[in-house]
Amino acid sequence: MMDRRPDRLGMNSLLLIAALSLAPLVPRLPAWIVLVCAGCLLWRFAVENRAWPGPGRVLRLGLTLVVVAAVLEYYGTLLGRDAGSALLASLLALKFLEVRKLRDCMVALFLCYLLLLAIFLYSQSPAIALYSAVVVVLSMATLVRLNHSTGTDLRYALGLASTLSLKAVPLMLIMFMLFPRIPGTLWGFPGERDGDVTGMSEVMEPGSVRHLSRSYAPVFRVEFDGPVPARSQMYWRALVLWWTDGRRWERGVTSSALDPGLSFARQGAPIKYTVTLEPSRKPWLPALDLPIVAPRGTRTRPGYLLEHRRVSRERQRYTLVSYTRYRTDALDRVERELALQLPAQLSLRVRALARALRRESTDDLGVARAAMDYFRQQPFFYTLEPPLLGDDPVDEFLFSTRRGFCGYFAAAFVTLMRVAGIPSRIVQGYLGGEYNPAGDYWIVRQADAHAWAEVWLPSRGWVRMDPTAAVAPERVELGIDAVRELTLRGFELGQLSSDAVRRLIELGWFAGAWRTMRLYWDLANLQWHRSVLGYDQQRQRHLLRSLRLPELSWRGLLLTLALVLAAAMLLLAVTTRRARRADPVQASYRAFCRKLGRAGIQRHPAEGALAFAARTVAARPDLKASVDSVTALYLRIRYGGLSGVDPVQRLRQQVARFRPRPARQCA
Amino acid sequence: MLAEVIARAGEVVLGKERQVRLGLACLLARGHLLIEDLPGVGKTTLAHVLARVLGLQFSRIQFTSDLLPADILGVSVYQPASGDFCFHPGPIFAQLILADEINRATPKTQSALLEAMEERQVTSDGTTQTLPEPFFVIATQNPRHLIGTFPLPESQLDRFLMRIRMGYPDRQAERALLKGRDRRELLQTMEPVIDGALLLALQGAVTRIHCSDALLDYVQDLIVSTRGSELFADGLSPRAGLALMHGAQAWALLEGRDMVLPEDVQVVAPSVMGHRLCPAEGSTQGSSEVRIEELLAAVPIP
Repeated sequence: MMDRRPDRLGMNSLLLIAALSLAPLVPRLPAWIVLVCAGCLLWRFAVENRAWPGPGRVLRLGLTLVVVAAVLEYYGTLLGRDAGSALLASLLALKFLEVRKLRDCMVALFLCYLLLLAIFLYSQSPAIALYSAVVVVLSMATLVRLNHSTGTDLRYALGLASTLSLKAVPLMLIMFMLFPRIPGTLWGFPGERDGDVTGMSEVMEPGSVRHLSRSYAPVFRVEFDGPVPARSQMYWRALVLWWTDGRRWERGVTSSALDPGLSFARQGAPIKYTVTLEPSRKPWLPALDLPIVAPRGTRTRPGYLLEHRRVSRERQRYTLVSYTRYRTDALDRVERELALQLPAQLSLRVRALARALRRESTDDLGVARAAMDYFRQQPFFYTLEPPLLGDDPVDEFLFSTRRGFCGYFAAAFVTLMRVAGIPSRIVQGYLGGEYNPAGDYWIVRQADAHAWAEVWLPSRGWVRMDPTAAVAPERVELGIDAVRELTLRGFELGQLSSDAVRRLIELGWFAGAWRTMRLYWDLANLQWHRSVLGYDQQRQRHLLRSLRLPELSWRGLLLTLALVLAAAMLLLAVTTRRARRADPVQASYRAFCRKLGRAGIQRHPAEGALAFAARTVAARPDLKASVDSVTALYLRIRYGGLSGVDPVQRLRQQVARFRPRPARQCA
Repeated sequence: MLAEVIARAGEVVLGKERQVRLGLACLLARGHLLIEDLPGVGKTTLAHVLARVLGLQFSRIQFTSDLLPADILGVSVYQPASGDFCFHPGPIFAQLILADEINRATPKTQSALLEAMEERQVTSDGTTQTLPEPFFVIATQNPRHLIGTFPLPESQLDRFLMRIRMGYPDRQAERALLKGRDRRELLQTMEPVIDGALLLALQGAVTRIHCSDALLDYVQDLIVSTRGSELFADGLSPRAGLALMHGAQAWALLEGRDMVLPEDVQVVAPSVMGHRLCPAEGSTQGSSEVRIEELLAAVPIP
């Protein structure tokens, strides 16, 4: 049986399954592995369909050794997620060079299943889950096709595979509920380099935020519990940068030197909200200006910042409380020194400008406002594609290019303030976000990354000053999407009146629908994460408790699971035994008899089909043609040794089409 | 062709198509037939008719209580001329034997016939003589007037593939009988429809009629149900099962089908099973045929 050779259709569907299983891994694999895989599959396809010669034993062995060695060379190991899945993918493809018998096909197919599992080490999104489910059903159909005689058609195989999968759903749910959860996520895989988690870095240089502005990846989602601040007030602070060399801005400070407290005078009403943070390799936890308590698992950092105690690859949820109106305490000496630090060289033009601003007003607030006015009145433009800057970026930006985005403005502003003797610093974080009306929450993406300035005023403490808002209020009020939309159309912010901007960014029907769809998809993602991936040990316990099941230890849970599985298998065995007796032919004929029964003609259990047909026709001559046809076909299959899928399907179709009208009531 | 055989036979044996068919099926399945009924209902006529239309050599043996085996099988007679013993074949050396009133003969004579039926050969004085092919025995038996008879034991009854009863003709058939010509005369004018070679070919065709697994399931279900039934003293033997299947195959051929249906089994079942199943002690109601009909109605077709 296992030595049988699969036919061409079976082989081609197996190749398709392999390609489908490999596809999601393609972006994660190096290009040469993708090429090897594609080459092997195509070669096999050509062998099968174009009668190409297959590779010899020596070539196969050589190729395998070369590929394994190359994976080892590329990753430095054969273990771990990346190297492991690369190895698995290439070995699956190489397996196709020697697939000959049914046994080989089985091995290849199970490798496909393993590969589908490996994809979940990278992403557990609902899209991937759905995709895998579809591929699993398809591969099951292939399994059916390979194991059945060559006469099986694909539709039948697909139907059987779908039925089997549907039958597996309850079992899957039980397994999902009861399988013992280890603390942590199901798919957490520690210590892997992760290319796809980008984020803000601790160093700001001209242009460093730009790559973020193109990334649509969500950073965190926020649900407000109570009043929601205006979008222009949603400054999510993540990082504070103190030190600069004129070009780079860094934190440049040891944590012990500064007070990491969160003490400040609160004004107005608190804002309560819950942040769901996407996994990232960065420790900071964005919070609305300014948070008052550090939730569990986090600590405070100087500059009213929150940080995780441990970097985690899991999605995390925090409940935070912030006050958007506040007054901070006095500066200490170290802070003041840091907040006034200046690069070694600074151009005379910058110093002259600062002095001019200083002369505008006697108090610091007036100076800061004058600087803001300077940005507003001079022809500065907000653009996501600014010209490159040379050795003295602040000077060049202020006097020649005058084009840039948040970081440029913040850096120039803070530099001017410091020259003017006002303590100031750059804050990095996110501004605004997108409201999802479907789920009543806000999505903040990498593209919403922002940098702004804070100046310290003796009367008010640290005060937020956002020079970007002076140049491009649209960025603050309408969000980054509007800015991007305008930039794509060739406009620079600062040129247009806000009404014109609003008109321009008004979404067309299609774009609006697309946006709504995106928001719903985001909601689906969130729910998936909460209810499926977020089903952890704690929630499992909770569920068991709410089902009034005794709280079970690991061992108890496993035992329960084994028992439930055993029961399920027993049930399955019983039902399949019954199903074997009711083979499709019998099932069709029974359906036929049921239909006639509803029309008033009952078949006795001991009545032969022919006798029943004769009796039926005697009672209902109008049904003669269809009854005779169904009966003849049924008898031929059941007693005449007619086999194959086609007659069975014909019988099924005939029975399906058979709709006897109920007999007319005799008066 | 088989239809013509049945039609021709029906011209003589009026209103008994079912019995004619069963008899024909029995012969096609290479079985022997036992006809059990009162005198004068056409038992002998049926045997005659079958012999005529099938073109078979016919020989009739009237069984009496003083009939000896040699009277059936034949004897070796000393030939004074040659000084040898020469075997004079008895009436059994024919293709179709009518053993009339078989239960009148002694068991010894009965068993001589029955042995010949089973072995299809006769051994006399150390020499073995093969009986002609095809070879059928149609035995008749009178169920009444049991005084001075030797009813066939069950083991002997088992040699017959089927047992049928003639029954009275219905009113219409009886009228036609009364109005029509003498049956004997009619018989003389009948021409054979098929010959011996064709009959052998048909017998071969019977064994090739398809019996599917589903049908065998049904046959087995039937047999098993007799074994546990309260209606019968004992269940059916495996040989009875084979007989049932062969009978059904022959019936299917008569119906012009190349496969056996449960209906075929149901039709032949009373005839095949009736003489093999003794009613259980204490259950007296109904004939064995009626009981078998009950059984058939109780066993669902899988």
